[in-house]
Amino acid sequence: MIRIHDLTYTYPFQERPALSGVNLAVEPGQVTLLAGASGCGKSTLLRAVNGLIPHHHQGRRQGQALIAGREVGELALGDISRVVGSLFQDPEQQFFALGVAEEVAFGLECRGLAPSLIERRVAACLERFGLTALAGASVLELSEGEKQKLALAAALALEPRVLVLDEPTANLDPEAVADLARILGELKRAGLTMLIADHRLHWLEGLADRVCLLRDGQVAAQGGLEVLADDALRRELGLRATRLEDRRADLPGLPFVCSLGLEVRGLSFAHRRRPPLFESFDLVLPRGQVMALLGPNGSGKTTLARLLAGLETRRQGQFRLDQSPIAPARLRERAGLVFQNADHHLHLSSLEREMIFSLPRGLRASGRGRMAELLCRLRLEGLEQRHPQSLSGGQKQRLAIAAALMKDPALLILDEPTSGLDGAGLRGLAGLLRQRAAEGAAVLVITHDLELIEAACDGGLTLTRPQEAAGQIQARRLSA
Amino acid sequence: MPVSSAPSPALLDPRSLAGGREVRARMLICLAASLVVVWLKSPLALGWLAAWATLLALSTTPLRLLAKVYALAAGLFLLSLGCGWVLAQWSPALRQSGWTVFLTPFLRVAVLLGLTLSVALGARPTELLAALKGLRLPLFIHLPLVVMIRLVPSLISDLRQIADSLRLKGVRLNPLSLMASPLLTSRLLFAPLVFRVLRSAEELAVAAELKGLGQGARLSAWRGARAGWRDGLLLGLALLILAGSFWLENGAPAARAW
Repeated sequence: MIRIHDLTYTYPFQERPALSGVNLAVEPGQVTLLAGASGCGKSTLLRAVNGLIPHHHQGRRQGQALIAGREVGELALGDISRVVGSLFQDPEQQFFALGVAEEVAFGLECRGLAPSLIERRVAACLERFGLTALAGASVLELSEGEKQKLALAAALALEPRVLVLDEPTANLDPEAVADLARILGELKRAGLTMLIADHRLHWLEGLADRVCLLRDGQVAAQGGLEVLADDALRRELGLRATRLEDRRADLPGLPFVCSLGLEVRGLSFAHRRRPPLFESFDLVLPRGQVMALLGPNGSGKTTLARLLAGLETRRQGQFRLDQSPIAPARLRERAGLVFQNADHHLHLSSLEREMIFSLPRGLRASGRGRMAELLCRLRLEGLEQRHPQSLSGGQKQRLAIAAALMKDPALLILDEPTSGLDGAGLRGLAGLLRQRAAEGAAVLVITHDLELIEAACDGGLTLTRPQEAAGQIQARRLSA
Repeated sequence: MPVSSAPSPALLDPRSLAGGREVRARMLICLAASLVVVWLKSPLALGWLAAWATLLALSTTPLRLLAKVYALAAGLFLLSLGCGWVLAQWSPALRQSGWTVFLTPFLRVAVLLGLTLSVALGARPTELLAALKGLRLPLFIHLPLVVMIRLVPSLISDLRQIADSLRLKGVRLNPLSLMASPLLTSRLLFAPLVFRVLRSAEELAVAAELKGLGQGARLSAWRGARAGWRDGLLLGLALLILAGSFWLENGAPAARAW
């Protein structure tokens, strides 16, 4: 179904090819995994299959990419998309409509199908993915798992024979990953051919038939799943673990008191015109430990992080740092918060300016020593004059963390820091968090990533969604 | 209480006439009124339209938000009035033209603000998109409007996170900081925003191409919003009010006094 012959591709304005002499064959109904370190060419290879290369991305291309026996370069993108469906890492970025049913219908409308046929296909697709009750909801109200299902439903409404998936589990919690694996298993049994690029490997056991490992744009190894059993090769290629234990239930809870660290007592908070999210909530984050903050979407993890960083105004509650009361404005000075998307942190024209600007105004003149130390520790040395937005995703994230560490925060909070991180990046991040805790900071990580929990976390706190709020969300969706 | 004596919610709820459903009618009204206000000059006629636009805006916009928006416009009006007064000290021609010269553009802005708010806050984005689809506009008009509406929620979320990142770095975004260091504040806010928007636009364009948009097939319209009797009622009322503004501009005895 997919044949790649000696494919070499170089992006415009780049010297080095992103793919070099790649050969790959995927038979009909087969599921093939593409794996490798960040930047090894996985996404580029997917783009060569779904036709974005050469139709959307220009550049130099040699060799062949055949879909169902026809060269991709000789077909129009519209014709390729009749055969190949695509699913990206962040499904929200590929939604064109704002309503759930409208999103499924959009591709069908583009093909000019009759409204009655669209109606039938939309209903069937929503039914297949258990989204019928959400048909009238806005895509922005969905959980990450639901968004991924919707993106899949929209792709499959066009009835493709091949599906390419680019890091489909990056934003999903373990339950949603299991659900996705089940759905893809059903599609495989129905005869769909799939090419999946992902850093997370543990969920693909029993689903993937073959593995293609890439290194610097070249095929490093190919074969059955047993290829991944080679620990040395996995470590060399920066891959993640193939088997994982879910340690969430075994994580020790938070202590009730601590002599050093952040203590929150009687916290109450509600978003405007919403039911309370926290009521008489107590929390202790001891210095020297890395704590995981777990829970489903809508349970208030990010809101709690914002409260702890002094970005939200509480209705009630007391905060104490190292046993002394602390006001929210002071919390902002003592806490570092790194958002899931590092782009929001990068404002200035060079790494150097970005780092120095992260310091309070009075300390900026004396911050160069600390900057050099942090850039070195986070493997960003030598890039001081680069524009932050020109860095790779992993580098941007390390820069955001380095900038947060500039003010030596007593509390470091990271929101989903491992999306899109390969094995080496994840191990590096886990080491950094442990090191920061060892230096005496309290570290809190909002994460769904079982590998990070295993590698870095000493304890955990699981938030549950308040029943009342959950009821309201459900009511809003049904009435929409 | 007998059922027949219960007040009809459709009559009592101010949102019933303009809030929530008649998106297409309100879009057309907004378009027509924005053309009419360019032509009108009389403060009386424009004041009449501004009062109507305020009522329409009130049916969909929280009073506090509307008051803030109008206060901002009024502040700008007073600022221009003050600057005009200072200039009039040196320019006799300006002194003769009077303060109504400044009132006309302010009233135009008030009309457009009220009508825009009644469209923007009176419907969910999905309703706006459905209404646009129902208008059967050409693709080159429909598509940019759809992308614009589609990107608004992401843009708001991005702005919020950028502002939070700056607060963590000790920077407050407010008019004072903007006036004190306009270049730096604009850069801090807009540099990450521009990159985010470019990335979102690129990803959305890729998604659209992969779904077959622009591949030559004629787009079919599934569930485009259809006009109802309330659209007709609102459009009829709008026509009467616009006709009234023309009468006030030209024929009304009061208009001659201005």
